Amino acid sequence: MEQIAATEMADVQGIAGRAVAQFEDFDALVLAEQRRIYRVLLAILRDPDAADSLTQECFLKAYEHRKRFRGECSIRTWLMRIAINLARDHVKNRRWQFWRKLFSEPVGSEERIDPVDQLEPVDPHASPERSLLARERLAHVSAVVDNLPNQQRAVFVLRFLEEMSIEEIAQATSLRPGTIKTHLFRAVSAVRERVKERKNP
Amino acid sequence: MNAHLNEQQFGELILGTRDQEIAGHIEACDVCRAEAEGVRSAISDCRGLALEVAERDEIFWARQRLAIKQRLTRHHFAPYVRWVAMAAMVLVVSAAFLLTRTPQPVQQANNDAADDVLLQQVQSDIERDYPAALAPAVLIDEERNSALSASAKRNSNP
Repeated sequence: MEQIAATEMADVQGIAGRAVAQFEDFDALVLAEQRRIYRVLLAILRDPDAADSLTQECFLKAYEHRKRFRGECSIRTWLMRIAINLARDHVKNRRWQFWRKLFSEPVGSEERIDPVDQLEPVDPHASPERSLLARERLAHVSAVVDNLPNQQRAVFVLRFLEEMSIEEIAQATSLRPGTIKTHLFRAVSAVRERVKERKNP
Repeated sequence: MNAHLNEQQFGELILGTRDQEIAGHIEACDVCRAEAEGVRSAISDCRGLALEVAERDEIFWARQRLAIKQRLTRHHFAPYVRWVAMAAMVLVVSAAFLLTRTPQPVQQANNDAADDVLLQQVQSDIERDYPAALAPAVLIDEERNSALSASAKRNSNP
C-alpha cells in the first residue's frame, strides 16, 4: 500500500517536474504556441488588435500562474484554456463598451473587420467572375461562423479549425464533453442550413 | 434507416463517428451524402479562411515576442517596485509626522509657562491691598507718613 502511494507520489512529482521544465525555456514556448493562440483568438473575436493584445496577455498569465500548472493536461491545452477565458472576458467587456459607445457615438461606427476583405485574391490568375464567386463562397462560410453564439463559435473553432479532440476542448473550456457535442451538433446544423440555403436560395 | 439523418446523427457523422448505422445510411442515401460533402467542404473553407486571415509576417511575431518579454520583465520587477514605493511612502509619512509633531510639545510648554505667569500675576493682583495702578500714590502716602512721624518725634524731643 505504502509502495503504491510512494509510486503515485513519484508520478505526480514527475509530472510537476516536467511541467516546470516546460516553463524553463519560456521563449521557446512562446515561439511554438503564439501563432496558434493568436489564430484562435482572432477566429473567436474577429479583432486583430484584441487578438494580439490577448495573445500577449495569455502568455503573461501563463507565466504568472505557472506554479498552478500540474500537468493534468498538455501545456498547449492549458494555454488554450487561458486564451478562451481571456476571450470570454473580453467579449463581456466589449458588451459594456457597446453600451457606452451607443450613448456617445453614432451607432455603426464600431470598427469590425470582415475577414474576406483582408484576403488576397483567391487565385490571382482566375477570371473576375471566378474570383467573385470564390469570395462570395468565403463570405458565406465566414458568415456562418460569425453568426454562431460565442460559446458555440469557440467550440467550433477549437474542433474544426484547430482540430482538437472533444476531451481537449473539455479541458480547455471547462465544459462537459456532452455539452461540447451539443454545441458542435448545433453549429454543424447551422452550417448545414447555410449550405442548403446557398444551394437552394 | 429510411428517413434522412437527424441533427445529432448528422453531427456525429461530421465529427467522425464510427456508428455503423450512420455509415450505412450515408452509403445508401445520395441526399445525405451530398449534404455531408457540402458541410465538410464549407468547414474546410472556413478553416482555410481562418488560417489565411491569421497569417502574419515574421516581423509581427518577433514584435509580439518582444512585447511579451518586455511585459514579463516589468511584471517581474513590479513587486519589488511596489515594496520600494511602499517603504519610501512609509518613510515620507514618518518624517512628516515627526517634523510636524516634535515642536508641538515645546510650544505647548511655552504656552503653559506663559499661562502660569499670567495666572500668578492675576493671583498677586487679587491678593494686593490696593490696585497696581495706585502703587505710586501709596508710595507717596508712605513717604508722607514717615515724614510726619519723623517731625512728630523731633517736636516731642526738643
